[in-house]
Amino acid sequence: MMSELVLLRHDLVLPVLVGLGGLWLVFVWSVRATPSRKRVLVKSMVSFLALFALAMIALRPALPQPMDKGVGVLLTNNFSQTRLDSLQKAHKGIALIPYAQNRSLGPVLDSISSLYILGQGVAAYDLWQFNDVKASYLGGPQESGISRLAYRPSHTLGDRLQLDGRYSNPQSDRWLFLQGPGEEGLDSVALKRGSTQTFRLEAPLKVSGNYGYALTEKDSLGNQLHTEPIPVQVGERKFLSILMLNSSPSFETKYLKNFLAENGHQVLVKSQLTRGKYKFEYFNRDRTPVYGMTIKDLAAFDVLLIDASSYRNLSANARRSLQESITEHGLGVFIQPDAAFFRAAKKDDFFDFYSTKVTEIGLDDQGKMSLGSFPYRFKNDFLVEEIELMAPPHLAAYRKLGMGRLGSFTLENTYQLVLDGHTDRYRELWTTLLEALSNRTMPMASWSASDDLAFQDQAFHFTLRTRIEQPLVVNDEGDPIPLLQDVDQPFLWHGKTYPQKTKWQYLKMVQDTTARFDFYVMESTDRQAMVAFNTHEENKRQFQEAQGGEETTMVLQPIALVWFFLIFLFGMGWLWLEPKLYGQDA
Amino acid sequence: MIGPGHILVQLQRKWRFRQGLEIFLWALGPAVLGYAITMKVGVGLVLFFLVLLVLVLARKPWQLTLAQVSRALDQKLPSLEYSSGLLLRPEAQLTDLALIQRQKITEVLQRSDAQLVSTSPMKKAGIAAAIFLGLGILIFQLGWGIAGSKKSRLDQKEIIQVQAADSLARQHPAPTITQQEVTVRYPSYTQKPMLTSGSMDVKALEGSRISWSLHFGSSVDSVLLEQGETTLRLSLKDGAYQQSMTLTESGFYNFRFFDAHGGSYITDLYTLEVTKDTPPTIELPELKQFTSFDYDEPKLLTFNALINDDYGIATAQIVATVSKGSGESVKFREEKLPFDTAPTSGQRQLNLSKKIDLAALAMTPGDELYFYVEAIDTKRPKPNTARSETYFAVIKDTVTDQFAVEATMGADLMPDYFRSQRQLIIDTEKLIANKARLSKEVFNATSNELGFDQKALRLKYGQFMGDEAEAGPEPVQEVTTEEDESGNPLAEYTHDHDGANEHNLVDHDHDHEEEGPAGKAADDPLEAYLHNHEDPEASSLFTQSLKSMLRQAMSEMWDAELHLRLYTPQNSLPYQYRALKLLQEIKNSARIYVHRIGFDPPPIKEDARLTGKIEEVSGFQKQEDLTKPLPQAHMRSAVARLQVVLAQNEKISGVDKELFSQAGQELAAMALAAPGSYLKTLQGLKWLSEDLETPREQLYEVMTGLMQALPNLAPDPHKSAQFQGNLDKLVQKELEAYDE
Repeated sequence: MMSELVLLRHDLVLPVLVGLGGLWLVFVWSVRATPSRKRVLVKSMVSFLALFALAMIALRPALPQPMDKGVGVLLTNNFSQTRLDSLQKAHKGIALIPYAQNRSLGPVLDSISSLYILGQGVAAYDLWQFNDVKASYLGGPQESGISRLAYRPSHTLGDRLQLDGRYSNPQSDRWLFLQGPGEEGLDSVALKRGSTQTFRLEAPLKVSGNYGYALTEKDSLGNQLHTEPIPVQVGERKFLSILMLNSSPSFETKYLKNFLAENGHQVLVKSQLTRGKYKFEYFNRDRTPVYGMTIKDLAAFDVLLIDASSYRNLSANARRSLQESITEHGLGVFIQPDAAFFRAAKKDDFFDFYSTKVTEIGLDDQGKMSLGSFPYRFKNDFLVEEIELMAPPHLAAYRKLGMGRLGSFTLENTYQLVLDGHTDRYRELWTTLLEALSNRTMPMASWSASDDLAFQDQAFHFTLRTRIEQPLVVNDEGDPIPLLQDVDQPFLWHGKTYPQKTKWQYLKMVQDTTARFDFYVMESTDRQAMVAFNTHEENKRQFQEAQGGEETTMVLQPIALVWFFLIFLFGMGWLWLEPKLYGQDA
Repeated sequence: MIGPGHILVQLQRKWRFRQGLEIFLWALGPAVLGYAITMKVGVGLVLFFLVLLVLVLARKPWQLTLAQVSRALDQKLPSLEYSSGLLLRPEAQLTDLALIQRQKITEVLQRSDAQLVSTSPMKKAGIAAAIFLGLGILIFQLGWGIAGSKKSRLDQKEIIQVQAADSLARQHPAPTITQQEVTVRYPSYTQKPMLTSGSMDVKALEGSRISWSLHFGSSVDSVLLEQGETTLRLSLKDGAYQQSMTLTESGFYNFRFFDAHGGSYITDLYTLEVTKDTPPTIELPELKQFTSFDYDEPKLLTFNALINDDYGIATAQIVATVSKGSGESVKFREEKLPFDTAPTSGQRQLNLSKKIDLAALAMTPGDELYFYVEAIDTKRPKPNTARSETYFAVIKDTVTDQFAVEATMGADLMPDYFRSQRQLIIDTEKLIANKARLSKEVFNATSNELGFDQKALRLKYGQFMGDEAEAGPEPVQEVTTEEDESGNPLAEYTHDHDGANEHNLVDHDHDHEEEGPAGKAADDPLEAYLHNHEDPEASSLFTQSLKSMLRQAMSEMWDAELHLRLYTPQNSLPYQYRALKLLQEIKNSARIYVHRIGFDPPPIKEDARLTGKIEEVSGFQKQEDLTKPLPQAHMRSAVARLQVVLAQNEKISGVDKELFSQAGQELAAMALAAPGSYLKTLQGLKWLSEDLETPREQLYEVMTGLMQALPNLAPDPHKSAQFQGNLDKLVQKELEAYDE
């Protein structure tokens, strides 16, 4: 049992041992003159005991004791009084522990053996304190407000902002408005009384920059009740460089090149006129013809649009360099199919098709917009990713090959949409296709936040992926932020910052100032319902697993000092009495 | 019981009250009118009390004594027998008779209480007050009052707001505009009076002359009117700065003026909205789009035309087209018909009637009439013209046209007799086939008949050649069948489809037919078919080729007839076939090829075709730069800049002002379609681009306005960024390995 003895003041062990040891030696030396050896021995023993007791008084020894402790209830934000009442009824004398964020609960928690947590729950950064306590999370009433919000915070000019969310405990006669940066209304949804309501709000993004959109709740009189900031980052459009290869001029190519060239993309169209003769059209680019298909030639392009017959007739060399351009340099390739392409599909195992009888695709609900298609559809396949065209499924897909993508569709004569006057739908279709396939630019640094929300004066964790060897990151004040390199992935760095100001802030890399990370810092009053919901979920997860293990916890109990005092007093008394009993010199 | 004297006292009170009321009503009317004209309460009150005082002093209602009441009663009610005075005397002074009389008149008075006090002066006063009140309201509503025409009626919002446009101007108090006026002179044809207003937002008809006149409280150096890129200087005339211009297009304008110290000021932005003179609208109620008449019913078409225009109709008429004939020979005749009631020029609304007699238009069965109503308004210099829908009237034809035009020919030029050769061959073959079953007589007779048919056919062709006399004997003596009345011996044997088409072949309007003698057509039957437009070459070529072939065909027919007549139809068949073949060739040679309109391919070089030589095929290169800036790029940049300015509390720099000014120009271009909607934003941009202190709220407003005005961008693919680390590559490789 002694092994479990713990000295509470173990920091004093050395001075006490040295001091008292010295004292004892002096004492032993002073009593050496005593004639009786036996008395010397007894005196030394007694003095040792007394000094030992003195040492113990100073060092406060403690022994772990099985604790016979009470039950406690932790009261966090928004707890239910009725639940507390019933708990108090069930456990007489239950200890009430109020919860305050960021404060140590150690001593209080030590005194209880099991804990109930009522209300919203414990903040994520305080959860560690409850690792050793057997706690059960009982939760509380759900806070009314937006408990879930999903949207892409960074977009490109011309995209649509799409906001999906869930509102908990909505009240009737309330409206949610999506407001632009100038507080202009963009979209709205009426709330209905119930437990939860999901909603979707949309708005076109017309300007680039960092904006604070807002989600505002209003009552039927138009009074603003609550506003949640919706930070949105809109980047400029970057043009694509496109190569189109055709074995003969086609209408599909003609319309597509017009669309792309008019929008400012660099387009090179190479159509074969006859053997060895080509028609080259250069839009928004230099007059540099591409004859072969070398890796160098292809490196200048983001997307290659090639018709199936040209693709079939590629020489082995060209095919090899094309393959390498895709896998190594990330080129996107789109094959404009013909009937033979689907028949030959088995041989070429990039795609697998199943046949269908449907050759007319409706693109809207009214049936006014339709397109022809080949009687084939893409099979679901490993590594084949479908391209969603806002149309029936399996019409378009790509296969990821190394860093690049190779895709196609089973549609026919999409320019028919333009002829029918559905120009926007046509543009949408090709925009989706080309964006899915095109080569991605490799940024110097890619930033991400492990938690989407940054709050003022709270830790904000971010990760940085970069090829720069020793990245240095500073915040907008110029203060450096320490980074931690990932053990397994050398290009991955973790960091943590405590933003001091609200609204848009940024982090940037010293080595490359263009690699800037803009993030929006909320005020502590923002997103409360969402924070509450997240805390609730996190608590549920944390306290679901069995906590604290054993029924009886061992607690260090200091040994009562009175015993040591008694030993010391007894020792001192004996040393005082002994000469009187046996005589000074005896 | 009320004493008899009391009745008189009561009457006296009532009388006084009514007099008071009457005076009040008389006084009220002028007071209200006075207020309506001057819009000043004081004037109304003064008038009221003045009239009241005059009337009270004139009438003196307090001086009404009981004796006067009694006298008035005596006059009014004869039944009182002039003895109401008895009521005023003490009872003790009265004799018995007087008492009885008094008793009597008391009863009379009690009975006729209601009629005792006259209400007619009250009524007069009431009517007068009502008239004054009505007048007052009318004047107030129409703004005819003294106040109405002055700027005191100007809405606070309409008074020109002035802003200092530079720091120099801020050091001195801004000059005030004491009087502002816009005059709109409508174009003379509208006959609208000149309009003067204090509101600077102008909405007027295209072509109106707009004049501005501004009076300043203190002296100003110069005043400019800025409209987009153009600037007009206002000239000082009669103490007012004036300028005028003709309104041609919508837009915005503002004034800028410089004070004596050189400080610059600008005003709010105002709209210039042009309304267009709309073309007249024409309605033809109760007229069906399509009317048809039988040939025997009266062909009268009666209708009314309702024509409306915003400023006046100059003239209206009916444009009618009569079509005669059908197919290629259709002829059109256009006529302008006046309405029965002549339209009066300058009217805004016309209701005109018209009765069209189709017979008067020389229309015959089968003819069609198309007509529409055309109205022209008074607009100058270029009037608006409007036309109604087109209406149809048809006189039903009694015969139905059925065309049998061959697919390859525009007109079927061939007489149908040519076809009979095939029929003859069929009949001959049928005869040969049936030979065994037929008796010899029948066989021979049928063969002879066929021989006759063959002869008739030959003769018909001979007619075209003009040489039937030489070609063989007349067939007439042999005709055993009855001739039909029209004298056409072949009527029974022919299958006349094409007769109806004959009008297509003969254009009666051509001169050459009218010139020639009537018999000429009969002499030369080809004349009708040749369509000879003084083109002897075409004509003779056509005739020559036909003639030689026809002659050959006829000699074949001659032989065929011979063998049929000899009862050896099998021998006649080869001749018949040869004749048919020749006729077929004639048909083909007579085909008309119409020059097609459209793509004319270059002639194919036959010597180079399919040789596989491509030396001369050359490559082709084309370079084009279609890059264009983002639409409304400055507006978009302005929003982005405003966002930064607002978020970081930055100052607006000179570069920003230039940007806002350009954004303003872009917005103004967009706003032309609807000047009202973007005015505030445009105003804000204007101020931002000047040297003005702009509060944050206004920056927000401008940003909101710009965001709302910006159109959505069309979908366009763009390049995205994605970080790919070694791990990603490894994972991809693993996945691919797994797939294989």
